[in-house]
Amino acid sequence: MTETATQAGPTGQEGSPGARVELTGIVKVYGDTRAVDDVSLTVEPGQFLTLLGASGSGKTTLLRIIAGFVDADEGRIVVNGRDISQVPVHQRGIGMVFQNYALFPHLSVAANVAFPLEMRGVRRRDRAALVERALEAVHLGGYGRRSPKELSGGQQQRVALARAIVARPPLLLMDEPLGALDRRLREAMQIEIRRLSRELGLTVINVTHDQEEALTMSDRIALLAGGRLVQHGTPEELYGLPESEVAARFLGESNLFRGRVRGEGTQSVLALPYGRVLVPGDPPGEREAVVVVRPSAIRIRPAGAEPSTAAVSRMPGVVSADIYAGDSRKVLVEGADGAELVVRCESGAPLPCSVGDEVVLEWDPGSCHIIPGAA
Amino acid sequence: MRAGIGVRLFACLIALLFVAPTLIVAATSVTSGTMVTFPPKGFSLRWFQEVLTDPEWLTALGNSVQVGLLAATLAMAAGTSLAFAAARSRFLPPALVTGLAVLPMTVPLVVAGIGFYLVYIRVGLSGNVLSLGIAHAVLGLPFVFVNVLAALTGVDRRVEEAARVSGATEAVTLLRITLPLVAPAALVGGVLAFVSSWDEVVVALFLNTPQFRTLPVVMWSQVRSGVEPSISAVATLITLVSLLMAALVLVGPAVVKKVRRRT
Repeated sequence: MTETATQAGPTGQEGSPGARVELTGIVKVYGDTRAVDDVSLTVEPGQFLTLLGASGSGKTTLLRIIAGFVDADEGRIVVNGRDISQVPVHQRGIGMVFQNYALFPHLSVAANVAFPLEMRGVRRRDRAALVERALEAVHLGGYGRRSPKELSGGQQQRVALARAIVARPPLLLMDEPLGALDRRLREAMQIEIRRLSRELGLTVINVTHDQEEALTMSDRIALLAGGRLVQHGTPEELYGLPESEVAARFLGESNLFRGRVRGEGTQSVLALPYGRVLVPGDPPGEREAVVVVRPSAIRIRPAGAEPSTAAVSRMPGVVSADIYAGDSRKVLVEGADGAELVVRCESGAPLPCSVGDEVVLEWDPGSCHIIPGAA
Repeated sequence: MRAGIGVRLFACLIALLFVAPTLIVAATSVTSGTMVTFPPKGFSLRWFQEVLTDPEWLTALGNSVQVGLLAATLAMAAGTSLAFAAARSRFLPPALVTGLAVLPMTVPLVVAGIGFYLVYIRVGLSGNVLSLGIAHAVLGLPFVFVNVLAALTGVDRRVEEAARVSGATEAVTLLRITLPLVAPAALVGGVLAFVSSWDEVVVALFLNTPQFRTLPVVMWSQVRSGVEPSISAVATLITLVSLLMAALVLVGPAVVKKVRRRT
């Protein structure tokens, strides 16, 4: 399979390094809504970027602007130093995978995969070998003569992937490519796509609303909400160091505490009417902040138990639900203000409480993350 | 739920009523006598032989085939274009296009016949394959339009986008992707247009001249001077061709797909 990656592409480029993509101030307005609102970001060659967001966040519109199906009202798209904002779709030389595969139903698998080569003027006798190589790269060698309709959903998506990479485009776009597949197939395909994009050195821009997919596959994630770029960084940064409430809420489960941080002796504390949240670091003076605590950082202790160490945050509550989820268990605890807190425990360990019990939640200040100024 | 015996008998009876006239006419065509009688006297194919050797019938048959083919071809071209306009045009309102395209279905044939007659006299076009072919193409156009429009709305726009992003211009996408996808529907519409032309008599009567007559027109004029078993034979032939076409419509698209897959 690695041979596939290192052999010359149709244009004779060795390894076909991915493109550097720069988006500058992209704006798209539909009526009163700013579907894409001043988005700027750079994708380095060979990087796998995921545009992550809920539906209506503008991620698909942004992808379609890059592909050339939608004209941006403002902004520039520069690929490898060349401004392609005004270049028509068919001259952009991009590969694209669609959610519903979008195979040509009247053509055989081989003819589907050969289509981009044909359009790029690759000679007929050179096509067959390239097509077979692309099909082998997605583990569908020998399927060329079949009709797309004879294949399963997963196989069809592999054909679509082969069609998108056969001409070795410097940039591969994917519009929710795994949305139509079931969970197991999706996970297998995630690994597959990642392996392939690494081997080919492709720059990939992937669109999804699935945060797990984004965290697993991406080198970088661009989180979008309401058309704006909320945060752009590595998966670790987005999950561990969210810069805003939107980011903290979107990526993974989180418990958010909002309020004023004050210095108390040697500690900084976010004082709430019913508990105290210790804040790490040494902040100068008072400030508004949001403290993010991930569910797995919280321990559940019976009400009235002594603090396990002196420097822990403590929060009283009542267990409202205990949900078994295989490798972990999710416990919902109703806080004193009625807000629901999420706790993740190992499913093997016995729970010191049952539904309806009063408990105390504890966590180490070092395990929480502060979003300054957000209140 | 299965239909009871009574319901089935009733359905058979209704079906029999529908096909009875055709069957009776077909039966009278194989008579060995000289009169149209039912049941037929004896059995012979002499009337078929007579029809297929009579120059008048043969000329009419040739005219009908040519008019039908021309009408079907024109209807396919115009109907497909209009369907694209209705489905894809950025300028024309779809309702307007659709309304115009299916109008020939609602206009009474007599009105259409008079209309074509007056226009053709004015432009000096009459009494040939072209004039009647154009008229029948207009009548057959809605069949093509409706079929292609349905097929076109079923074509996923992302399939066309996939072609565009693969490097195809809009024209190439149309030729290589979209048209092949709607071609079976256009072909079915064309066959229906042919059948509608094949047995159309009203407009054909308005546009006929002694030198140029189609099968239904010759039948009509012969019936007026007395019914012979030759009429029954022609009627049977016309029906057989129509049945053949109907069969084509039913199994045609499946065959097209199979052939396509092999190539």
